[in-house]
Amino acid sequence: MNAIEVRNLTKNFGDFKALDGLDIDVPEGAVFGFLGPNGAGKTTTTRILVGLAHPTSGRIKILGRDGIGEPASIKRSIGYLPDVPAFYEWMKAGEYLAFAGEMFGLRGADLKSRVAALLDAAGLAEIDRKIGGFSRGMKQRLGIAQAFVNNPDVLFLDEPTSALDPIGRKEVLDMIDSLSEKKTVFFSTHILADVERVCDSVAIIDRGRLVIQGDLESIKQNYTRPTFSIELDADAAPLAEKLRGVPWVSSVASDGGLLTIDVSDIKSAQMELAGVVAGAGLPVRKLELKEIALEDIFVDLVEERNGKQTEKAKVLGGAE
Amino acid sequence: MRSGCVFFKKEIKAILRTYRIWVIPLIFIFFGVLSPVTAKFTPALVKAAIQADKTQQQIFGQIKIPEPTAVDAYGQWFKNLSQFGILALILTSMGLISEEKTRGTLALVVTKPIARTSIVVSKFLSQTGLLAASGAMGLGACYLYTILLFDKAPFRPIALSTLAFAAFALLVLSITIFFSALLKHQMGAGGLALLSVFALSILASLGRGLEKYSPGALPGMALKIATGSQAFSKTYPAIAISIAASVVMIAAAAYVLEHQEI
Repeated sequence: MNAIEVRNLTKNFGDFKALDGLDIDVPEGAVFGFLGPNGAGKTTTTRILVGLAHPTSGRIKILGRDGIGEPASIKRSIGYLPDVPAFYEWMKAGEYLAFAGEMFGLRGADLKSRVAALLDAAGLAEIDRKIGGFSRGMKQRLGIAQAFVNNPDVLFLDEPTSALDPIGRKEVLDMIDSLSEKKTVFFSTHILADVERVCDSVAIIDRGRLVIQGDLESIKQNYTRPTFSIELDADAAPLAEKLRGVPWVSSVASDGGLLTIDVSDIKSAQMELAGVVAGAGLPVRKLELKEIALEDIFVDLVEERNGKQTEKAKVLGGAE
Repeated sequence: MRSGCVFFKKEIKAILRTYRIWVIPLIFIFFGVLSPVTAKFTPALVKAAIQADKTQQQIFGQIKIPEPTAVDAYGQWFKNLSQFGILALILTSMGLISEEKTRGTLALVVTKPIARTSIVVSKFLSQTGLLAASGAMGLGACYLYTILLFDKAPFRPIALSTLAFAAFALLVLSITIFFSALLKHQMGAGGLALLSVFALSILASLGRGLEKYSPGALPGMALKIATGSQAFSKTYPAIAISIAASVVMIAAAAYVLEHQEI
């Protein structure tokens, strides 16, 4: 079952189409990376999903319920962290969490223990000053804590690490990791390393439209180019020449001691390449099947889309 | 409803823990003290100025300045309330909702299970409470200094006239909250609220018997009640309309916020 379903979502600001028929499916229990370059429509989508903005048209379902118009039953089941969370600066962290918890009906001992646990998880249990004196990282951790106060089924995080330094980022990602077990997390970001670290499925959007969607591993597999790289402690040209005559090799590029080989039949290549290289009698330093990074897929897809606007978005992994 | 109470409690804490708990009562107490003092000593100061200048003595020598009374003190109190009191009310209320929108604090609140109407009502009730308490303190200060500086100072006229004025202030507050809900920037909300006060005053001065029903006429009526030239009962229609219009403005503020993108 999908925790979040978005169908043909559009949002216009005057003549500008921020969202242009967006479709996404977020499986229940997934940590879902919602990726896109700046201005792609990530924040607009997130704001519509949590009820802060209204779509021009389209349909959304959260936990099987119609999500337009922020019904109270949905609000009870979600947590939300905007990119730059703002708090009442005269409050202390515990007070804010208690205020947030009370809005969900938590009272007495339940509220107290929930606040204490979240303060602990956020590393703010020992901090006794007002929120006005918090660093950006502390505010972000408090933001995550308040988003978890109702133990939500679905959590919306809008660029939670984009304004943080590397240490702040690590702390926030660790916190998300530790708290989000068995929850659906909708993680909007343009930081690909964060997605690779915490997400198991992703959608990439650009200019308000879906470019690709699916689980991270299948996307990587589908986009992994069957390419090997070989590093030699000698000139690679003779080996390159030899490889050009092999039937499953489609192209070879050599640069000093480095060879990049595109193959048409990966299985044959995996079985036979090492033998061909050994037969050349050259000193080998490294031979590997190149792993593709999400960043390469992201850049390729966004650039391809910008070059071919009319091409239909490719959808993988169970999406429509 | 429950989360509405939680938000109202937060608003009360915000008043008690920020500048508002000091600044707003102090403004009213300041004018409460200043009004009888100004009424008492202004004639003496004018007299002294005339006597110090021979030319002015020739011009104004024949004019007799009457001895000030408690009525002058009350008159001064309402002049100050009508100008600085209303200005202070608008300045301290214009950001109640708009500031929460621009700062982003409201986004975290409205994504939780709370009706936006409860937010507007909580803001209105808490600010009404603060202004009512501050006004009462100002009234107390004014009455106390009037007793000290003048021989006779009846309490009933100033209490009733302050009540009539409070109905007008309530409407100004609800108009300010409406614009604060409508707009994102508090300066815009304050500016439009101020323009509305001018519009109410102009409406009250159009004549044709309209002033009897016009909330904008209440400050003038309050002054007349304080000086004993008008019965309190004559303000009933304007007070009733003022309260009804306040309810309408708060309902409009809630409607606007309910349908707004935050």
